Amino acid sequence: MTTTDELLTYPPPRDMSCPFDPPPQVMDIASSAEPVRKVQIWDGTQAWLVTRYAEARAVLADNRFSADPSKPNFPEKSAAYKATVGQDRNLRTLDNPEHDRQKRMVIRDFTVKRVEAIRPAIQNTVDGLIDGILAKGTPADIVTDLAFPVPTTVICELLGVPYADRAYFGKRSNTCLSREATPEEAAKSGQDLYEYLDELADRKIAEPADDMMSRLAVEQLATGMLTRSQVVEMARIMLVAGHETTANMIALSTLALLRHPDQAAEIRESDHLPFIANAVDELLRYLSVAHTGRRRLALEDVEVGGVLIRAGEGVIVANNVADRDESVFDKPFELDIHRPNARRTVAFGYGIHQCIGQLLSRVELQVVHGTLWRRIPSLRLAVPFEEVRFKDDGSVYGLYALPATWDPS
Amino acid sequence: MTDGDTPRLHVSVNLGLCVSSGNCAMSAPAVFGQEADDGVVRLLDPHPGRQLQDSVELAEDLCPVRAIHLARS
Repeated sequence: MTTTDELLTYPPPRDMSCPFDPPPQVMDIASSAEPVRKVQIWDGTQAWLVTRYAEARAVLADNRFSADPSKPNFPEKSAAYKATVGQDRNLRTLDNPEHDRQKRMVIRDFTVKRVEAIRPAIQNTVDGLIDGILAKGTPADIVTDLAFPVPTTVICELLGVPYADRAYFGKRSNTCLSREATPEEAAKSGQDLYEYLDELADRKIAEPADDMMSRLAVEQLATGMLTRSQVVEMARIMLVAGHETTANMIALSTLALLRHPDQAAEIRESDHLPFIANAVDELLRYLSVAHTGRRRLALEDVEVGGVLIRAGEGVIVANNVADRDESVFDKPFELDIHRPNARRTVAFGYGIHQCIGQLLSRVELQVVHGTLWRRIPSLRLAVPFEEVRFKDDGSVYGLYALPATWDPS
Repeated sequence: MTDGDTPRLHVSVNLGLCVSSGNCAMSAPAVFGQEADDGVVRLLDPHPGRQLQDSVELAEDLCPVRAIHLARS
């Protein structure tokens, strides 16, 4: 019989001597005879932790698990989350049928064809940023000079949010996702974002443009298909999720390749898009930046991996750990851009809540890596690896800064 | 066996489950497309040749709501 004081508090810290790997205590659970196990979270409540690939997918694809954080005992990520993004009724938190109804209002901006159609614009953005990095000279901070500007530019364009406002919404978005923020700070940031987007909605109603917020205002709000708050909450999740995740992934994947120079060289020498795409999928699997688990609440009794999860109990699907499941991925702790099944990563989740922007994020990463290593072949860290500061305090793993240098050409 | 009588694959999709993830259209673009307005899967070829088996199996595996079925007879 397990007692409360033996329960792991989730998420535990990483072992920073292996900063790309999930916390060792969670890996121990995944490789144990009890890979579905109760853990304790920040508020002292308990939830089931699911650590293996098959069970992770099974839970995420099962409608008997709800993503609605307003339900009692829902295992929310942090006090800050509970005070802000956890309050939202949006694609992240809605169950069906409402989830699918709202998703269909915005999905056309994320189809394969639409995302491929904006690849040239993403290439222009990346080219311009790298021109800027080279013109400014060494050292550069890849986080502020490349990783954040790429997805921020893309999501601003797609949503219709002025890029000039990036410092304003960027700071507040970061606070909402931070585990360190107090609930009051997070709530204030969330409210600021809401008011900012609410005001922007007015401008879209008055002067609609060719962007998602205008379409939501004209097609959904004006026709009564969405309420005002639903439009703003949709815009808020798009803005926050659309730039934090990909930005941190660009920074972290650049560092991972700097640590694997042979693989960076292969990417540099390739102009074969399927190869670059596979490398990106492998980086997504290996780094899995949304690293604090997908949170759910059981609506019925469901057996998962031989364990009976009761209705009303919380579940945390550790997708970052599932992506290291050796029954699916051979030598899972190695970065291998040739991995034949890298595409099976669950970094974007699975089930109805699988990331709506996954194709867009992939293309952004493909363009970055297809360009950066070719344009700056001697790119290397400007500080010792041990001095790189990892951002481990939020729901998205990443870097605070990535100082880089190169040989003048 | 000649090309003419090579057995073909039998693919079906459940439109009611589809959440427009686009995984299938990316994995096997000759077999799966997406409707422009809502991204729902469009089955372009329900009986693709065996040479597409790997990519169709990948699409089936990646579909996050298991809306794709490849008959294995």
